[in-house]
Amino acid sequence: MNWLRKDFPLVLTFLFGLVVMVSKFLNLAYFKLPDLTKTLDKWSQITFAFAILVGVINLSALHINYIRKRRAGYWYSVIAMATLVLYGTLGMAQGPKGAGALFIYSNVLIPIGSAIYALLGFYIVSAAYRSFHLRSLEATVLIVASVLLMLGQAPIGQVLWYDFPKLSNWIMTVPNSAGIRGIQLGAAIGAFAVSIRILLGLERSWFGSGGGQ
Amino acid sequence: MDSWNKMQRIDPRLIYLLILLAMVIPMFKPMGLPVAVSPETKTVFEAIDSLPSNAVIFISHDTGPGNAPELDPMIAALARQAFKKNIKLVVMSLWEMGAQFADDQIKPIAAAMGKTYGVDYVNLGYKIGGSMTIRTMVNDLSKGAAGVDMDNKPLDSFPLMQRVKSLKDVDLLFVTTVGSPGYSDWMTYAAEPLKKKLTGGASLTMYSGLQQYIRSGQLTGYLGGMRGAAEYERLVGAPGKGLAGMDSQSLGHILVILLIILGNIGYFRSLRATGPAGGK
Repeated sequence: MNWLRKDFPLVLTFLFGLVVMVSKFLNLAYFKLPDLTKTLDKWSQITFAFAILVGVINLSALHINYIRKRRAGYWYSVIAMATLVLYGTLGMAQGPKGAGALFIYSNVLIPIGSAIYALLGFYIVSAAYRSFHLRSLEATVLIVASVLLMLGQAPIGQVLWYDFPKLSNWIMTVPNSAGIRGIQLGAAIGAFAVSIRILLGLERSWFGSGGGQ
Repeated sequence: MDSWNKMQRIDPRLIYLLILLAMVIPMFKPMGLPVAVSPETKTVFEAIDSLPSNAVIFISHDTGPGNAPELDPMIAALARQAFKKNIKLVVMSLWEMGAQFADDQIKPIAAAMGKTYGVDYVNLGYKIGGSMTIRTMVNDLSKGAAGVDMDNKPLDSFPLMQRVKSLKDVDLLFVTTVGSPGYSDWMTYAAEPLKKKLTGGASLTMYSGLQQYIRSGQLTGYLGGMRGAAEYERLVGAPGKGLAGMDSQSLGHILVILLIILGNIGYFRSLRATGPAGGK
């Protein structure tokens, strides 16, 4: 059983990784070999759908445990479970466009989602006032660039000086692009290295066996 | 403690109130500030304008409720421009709420412009699977969409889907993006392999991260945040929520800049009073 839990996933990962890599770098039709990646894509899509079910089971088990043990703030777990059962039942009984599900979606889900994101704006403004200080050269560059970008993005900047949008556009396209390209190149090389380590079984933290070698 | 020091310890609720007022007042009393159109927005408009009648645009509205106010106006303006030119739309989302948001934008415009569901546009709904779904749709759109639209009606029953069998049959990809899955998945797995033009719109926080793809031509222009939506609305000639939000954005940005200036004056005054260590 230990082999099934520890080594079998590694063998599967290596085999499927190899299939995808071979199909990408070799002309399979030339060698009269079937392209299995299309089948694997469909399998992945089905697996994603099942992952939601696993998520629901996991979330339910966690919150039911909190409620049974009456942990601090267990009322939030009661609300979470009641919402899950109510919305899930309505959605499955009436479909996602049923009157009940659509009512909760339009009048609860969307306003809560928007409000949480909008709160960020208030916190950012407050944080900018308290901590956006010219403490160093780097901080000064950051603040000056952000102020120019804010003026370039809002129409009021154009009213103050016609060329603010052009200046803002230059910051976005030249220094910003250069920086992002460097970061993305580094990230891509890192992702490639980690992928090779996963395929070779050197990196095992992804299936919970604790760390790599 | 002088007044500047007191300002440094201002109640955050006052700042929240100021930002709320800066956002709300222009909604009731618009200033009508001019909005210049950026080259990126012009490129998006021209890419759609250059499509022939009966062409198909594939939209993936990959957003959640937080960014919908920035991105929904783009979908509305796109629907107006496309329907005016008799261009067909196939819509979906890789984010669970995006397809409904797109539907809310497109349906009233389609009804007002006399367009028919199934003939002029189809909404495939939310499709799970991210990049794997895109890869499946490259070869077989119906399989990637599980064979049904957002109302569980079979795709085969729609005249439009008779000629759009895969992503190979669409003329342009229009993807809104706020994270992952988003533009990078569509670029890597659909636009690049199929040599299709990819355009769309991004939240302003994402916009700086995709500039290099606009420069390299992998993205055919792109709309940046609510400003991009406002510019696009202006080009389409249909002022909507994007243009309406510009005055709020202007006042909000000015308030942030003023607060940064005030915060720095207070910071330097407190430094002078206490020495460099006091400012830490």
